[in-house]
Amino acid sequence: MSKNSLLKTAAFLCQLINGAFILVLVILTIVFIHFQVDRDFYNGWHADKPIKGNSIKFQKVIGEELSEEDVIYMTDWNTSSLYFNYLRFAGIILLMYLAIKQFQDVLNLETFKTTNVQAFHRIGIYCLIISGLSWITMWVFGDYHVSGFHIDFDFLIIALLAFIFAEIFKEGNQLMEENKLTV
Amino acid sequence: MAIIINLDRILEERDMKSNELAEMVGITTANLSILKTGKAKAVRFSTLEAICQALDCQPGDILEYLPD
Repeated sequence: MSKNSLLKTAAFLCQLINGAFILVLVILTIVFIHFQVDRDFYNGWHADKPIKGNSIKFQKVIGEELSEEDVIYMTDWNTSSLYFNYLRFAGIILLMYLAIKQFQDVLNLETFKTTNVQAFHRIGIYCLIISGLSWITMWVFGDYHVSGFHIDFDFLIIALLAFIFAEIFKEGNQLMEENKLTV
Repeated sequence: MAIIINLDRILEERDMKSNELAEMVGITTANLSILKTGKAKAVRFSTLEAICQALDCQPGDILEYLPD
C-alpha cells in the first residue's frame, strides 16, 4: 500500500484516539480506586437519575439547591453496581483500543495481505463484544435501581461492516495470490 | 493436480538449463520454477508461446492432462 497523506492522517488520528483511550482508562481506574478508599471526597457529586440504557454524568454544582427527587448521589453508589459499571466501561474502552490498534495495523501493512483479513475479523469480534457489553445496564444508588437490557445497533453495524471488509480483503488476497502464481 | 508440466523432460531432451530458458522466454527463474513444480495457477498465452518458440515444441509437449 503506497502511503498517501490521507492514510498518514488516519494512522495519526488512530494513534491520537488510542492515546485518549489509555488516558481515559487510567483516569477511570484511579477514580474507581479512589472512590473506594475515600468515598467522602465525592460528597455532593450528583447526577440526573439515569434512564434505562443511558449513561450518566456526575458533576458537582456549588451553591444550588437540588431537588432530592431528580438526582442521585455518587456516594450512594452500590458497590456491586460500581464494580459492574467499572468493568463494563473499562472493557468497552479496552476493546475499542484493541479494535483501533488492529485498524492501525491494516493502515500500516500492505493491502490484501492475510494479516489484514485477520485484523478485520478481530475488529468484528471486538465490536460484537462491545455491543454485547453496552446492552446491559445496572445503576444502583441506594434505593434507586435502574437495570435493563436494550439493543444498541451501532456497534453491531460496525461489526457487520468489519466482517464484510474481511471477506472483501479475503477475495482480494485470493486474486493477488492467483496473480502472483500466473506465469 | 490434473495438469502435468513436462518442462523438465523437454529441457533435458534439448540439453538446456532452466536459467537459459528463463532468459530466452523473458521470465524470472523463480517464475519458471513455479511453472515446473506445478504451483502455477495460470499460464499466459504469451509465456506459452515464448516457451514453445524457445524449445521448438508444441503446447501439448509441455502440458499434459492426467485424470485424477
